Amino acid sequence: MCESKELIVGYVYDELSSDERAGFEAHLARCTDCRVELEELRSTRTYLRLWAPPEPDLGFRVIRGGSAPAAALPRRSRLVPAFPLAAAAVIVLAAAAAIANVEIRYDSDGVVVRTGWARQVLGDAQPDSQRATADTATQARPAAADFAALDRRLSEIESSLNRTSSAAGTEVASDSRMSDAEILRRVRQIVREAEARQETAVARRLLEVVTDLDRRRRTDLALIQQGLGQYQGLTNAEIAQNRDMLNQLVRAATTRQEK
Amino acid sequence: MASSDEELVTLSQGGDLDSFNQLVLRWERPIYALAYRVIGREEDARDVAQETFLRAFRALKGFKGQAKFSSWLYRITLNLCRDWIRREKRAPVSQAPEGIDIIELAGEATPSESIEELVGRRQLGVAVSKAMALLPEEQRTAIILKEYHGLTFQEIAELLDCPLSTVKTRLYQGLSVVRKQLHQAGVSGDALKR
Repeated sequence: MCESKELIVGYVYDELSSDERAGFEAHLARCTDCRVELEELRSTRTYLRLWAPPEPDLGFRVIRGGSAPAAALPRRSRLVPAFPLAAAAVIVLAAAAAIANVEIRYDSDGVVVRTGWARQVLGDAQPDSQRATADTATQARPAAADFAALDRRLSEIESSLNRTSSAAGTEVASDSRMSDAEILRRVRQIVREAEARQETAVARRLLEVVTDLDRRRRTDLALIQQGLGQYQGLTNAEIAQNRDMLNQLVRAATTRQEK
Repeated sequence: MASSDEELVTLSQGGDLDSFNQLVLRWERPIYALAYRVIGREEDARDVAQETFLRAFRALKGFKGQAKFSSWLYRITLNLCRDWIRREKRAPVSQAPEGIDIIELAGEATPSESIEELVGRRQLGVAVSKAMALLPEEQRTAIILKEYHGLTFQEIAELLDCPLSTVKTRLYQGLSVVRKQLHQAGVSGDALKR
């Protein structure tokens, strides 16, 4: 090529002045190299026109939000796999359940599952297992007191009976000629005292059964609460894992931006 | 009658959001095409285009109209593309389609064009994109602005902050490299005549 690059490019793109154009065309008429060069540049331009960009649905739009002009153009619609969305939904639900104070109560009315924001402050301050233990201890104290009272009462009755028996034996020994009415009175008294002792024993046995049932109920409740705690712990671990992943992504993005 | 860019810019500067969105609608495709051809990635090009309008909106008050609104947008886009290339530390990629969808192609065919011709045309387009991806950024940008956006040498020089002669040299060198690359790829001069 004998002419300058600027001239031939200007001619290819039709940006020469009329004088420059006339001069270049006069040159072309007698220069084969420049004619070949020109033809190749033109054919290259023809190929370039075949490179078409994709035609996505853009639909950008500026919307105003709040007091400041919002730079809220819709972000591009990425194809997000459904599984991570579902997993995220489960995590959110689990977190919501944890926050919402799921409470499982097992009492005479059966098992009651309750969620709610309102929960006793004392109850919130204690872990479930500790709370269950505390409840059991609180109720175990009156039970122990009852047992002690019953024991005392039984001891009193037994000692009273012993005294009565020994006194009666003495009297029988000293006065073998006791009247029939007196004998009947004493028999009745012995029967009454035996009945009282029997009632006390039955009451004690009933109390033991009730206490045993209550212990079992609380054990079941503690197991349920422990299971729930494990579930919540698992959920929290997943949330922490996801948070760590997000943090890593943010750090990576920040690092790349700083580069 | 459609308003000019200048009119819409003036209205937008006065707080008329609809006017700015008309500008967005008018220029989103050229801006996206520019970003796509410079960086070569569809999704990233979309992000760049979006960011371009975002920045334009934020800086609209400072736009005094010394240049055309489109040139201003092009400058923002090219700056963002340059940032992207620097950030990614790599040359633009050429995203070649993995396969050619005959049904889709049939919809694009002109009545006088057979599917075979259309497939050939698509393959030539891929070859061109690969050849362009091999160019230095300055030459590629100059060709893109000239070939696909119809800017004058002077406008390109102002946009790229370089002398007029540099623009012409970049264009010439870029076209020469593309031509050689196409020859090496087996694209003959009469490929389009088949």
